[in-house]
Amino acid sequence: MMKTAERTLPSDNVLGYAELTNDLLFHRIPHSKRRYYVERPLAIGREHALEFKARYGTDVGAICRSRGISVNLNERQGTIGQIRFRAQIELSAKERAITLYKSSMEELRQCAGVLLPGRSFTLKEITDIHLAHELFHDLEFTELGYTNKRLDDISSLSLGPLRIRASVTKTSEIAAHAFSRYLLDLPCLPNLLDYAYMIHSGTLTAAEFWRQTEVWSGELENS
Amino acid sequence: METVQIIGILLVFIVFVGLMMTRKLTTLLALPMMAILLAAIAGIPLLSDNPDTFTITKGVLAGGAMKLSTAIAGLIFGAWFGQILSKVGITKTIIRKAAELAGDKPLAIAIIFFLAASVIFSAANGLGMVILVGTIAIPIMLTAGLKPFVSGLVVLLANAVGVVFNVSTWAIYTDVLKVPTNTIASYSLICAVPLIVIALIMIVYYTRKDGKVRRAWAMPLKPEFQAQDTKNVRAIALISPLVPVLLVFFLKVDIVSAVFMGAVVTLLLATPKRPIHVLSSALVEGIQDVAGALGLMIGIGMLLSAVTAPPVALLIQPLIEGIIPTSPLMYILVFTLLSPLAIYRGPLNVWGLGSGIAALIVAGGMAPVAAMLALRIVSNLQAVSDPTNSHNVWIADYTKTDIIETLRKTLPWMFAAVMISMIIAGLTVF
Ligand SMILES: [Zn+2]
Repeated sequence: MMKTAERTLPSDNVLGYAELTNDLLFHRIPHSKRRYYVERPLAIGREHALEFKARYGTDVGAICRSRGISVNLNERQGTIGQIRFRAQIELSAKERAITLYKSSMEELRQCAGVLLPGRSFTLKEITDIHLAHELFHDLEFTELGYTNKRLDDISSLSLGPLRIRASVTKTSEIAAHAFSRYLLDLPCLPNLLDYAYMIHSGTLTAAEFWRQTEVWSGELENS
Repeated sequence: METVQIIGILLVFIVFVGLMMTRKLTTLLALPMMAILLAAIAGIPLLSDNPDTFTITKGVLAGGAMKLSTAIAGLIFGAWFGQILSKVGITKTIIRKAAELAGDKPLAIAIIFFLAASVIFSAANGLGMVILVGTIAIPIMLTAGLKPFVSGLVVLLANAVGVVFNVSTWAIYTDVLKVPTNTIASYSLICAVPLIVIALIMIVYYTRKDGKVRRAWAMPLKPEFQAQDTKNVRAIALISPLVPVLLVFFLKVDIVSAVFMGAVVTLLLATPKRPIHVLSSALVEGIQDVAGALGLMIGIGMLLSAVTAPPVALLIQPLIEGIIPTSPLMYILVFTLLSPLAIYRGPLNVWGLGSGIAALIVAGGMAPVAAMLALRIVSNLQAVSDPTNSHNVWIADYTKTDIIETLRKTLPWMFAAVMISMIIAGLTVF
């Protein structure tokens, strides 16, 4: 499609906001704080990526090994109901382990071109994107503290005088995406691949996606 | 002759229990077959010219099919109510509100989902409801960092608690043991409280067990922004699931009417766009949800007709009398130790032979209330642990966990819950 080829890639803010809209408590976030929950985690992820890159380089596989994180490749399909797992990290004092879902990696490699015309990925690149993302969670666990806990809480429920406060968990994902992007010099936040996969599997069209990026961008502008 | 008949009856029990437990034969088919064989061994005629004679065709098959009619009606209306709740969006809204209440802590999410889902399942349960609640709640729990096993466990435990309070499943005790509805209601807490306490301990234990924090890069297969049904129903409508059980508890309304009023209240409070469509499609889909259970009810009715027919009862009664507990201690011990016999379609399963055996025990002199309580308490263990439950199969499949591991990890806890409930029951009703 000619139209797609001419598109500029969605900005970090727009893709960060797209991730934020997936938060369970998204509709409890005051409009005026939307930018805060996008821009702060983006800055945190980017800052640590640049620092990390200068210190340790970009061989994420080796970095994981040297940090004592075990990396497992799961052969099974990572789909549970309507959710597809791509990678996860389990963190405890005893053990830190990253699991990558092999079939997800392979699919993402195939469909990346849908939204990134002319750019192809090797399986190692796709794997590295996920490792870098999970590596950031490890950093959160060992040094930084969880991004969502470092940012302001929102009130998740108010019943008269009773207020329950909660953190916005997706901010941790936004920061991890930004970390992955700036560590590996990706053209945009890697959650673009989520949408590439939906387009590839037919649950979303490219036109719908681009229209939605304008909606997201508008919502963020007006907040 | 009598000895031969008794041996024959025992043989039928042993062979069919074996066939059901090894899954060579479904309970659905085994129950009517047992009914016919037991009646035949006791010498009940197949047909008779005399309209007053109890025959296999008229007494066991035709009469048995409708013997649990109250329970069948309860099941149909309960399933209808469940579908209405889902169609107007109450089920989803409750889970969403629960997620907001729980915030960002995995353990809080697990506990609050357990409580919210228990309320939903007390209004309606069965495989259809488990799927409905599970498909919304389990992905939320997983992305919040709970283990697949714990996410499934929360739904399993909530379903078991829900069944205790689900009025539409109570009618089986009215039909089989002739216990009035308000008596069934008043003893519910003996079954429920130990189960709820043990369930909460289990959820905390298994969530905390490995002390791991999980973060996952997970993505929805469909874009969230295209989700159609994101609108919540109005808050007041969220009380609808509780209406039937409250009516039965406090106003002593009968089961079918209570469920019926629950449906009316739901429509009035939620005001869906197409009420007529909701009501009629919910009825058809609700009956589909409970089709298997309805078949079992018919089979149980036939078995009951056969074992309670005098020629059969005369042969079985001496066998049963020997094992009927005569003291509270024996009552507690017998039903606690034998509670694992409820799983794998075993002889204490209320959705199988259990109902027939309970009827015989009552005929043999045990108080109906004591039998009702024992059967309900044992059902707690069955509802959570039994790998042959269709909801256990679905949850294991959905969360990609091992169904036998679930049995192994839940059985000791459920056994403890049964024991506590049985001790309280033994001290109060026996
Ligand atoms: Zn992540």
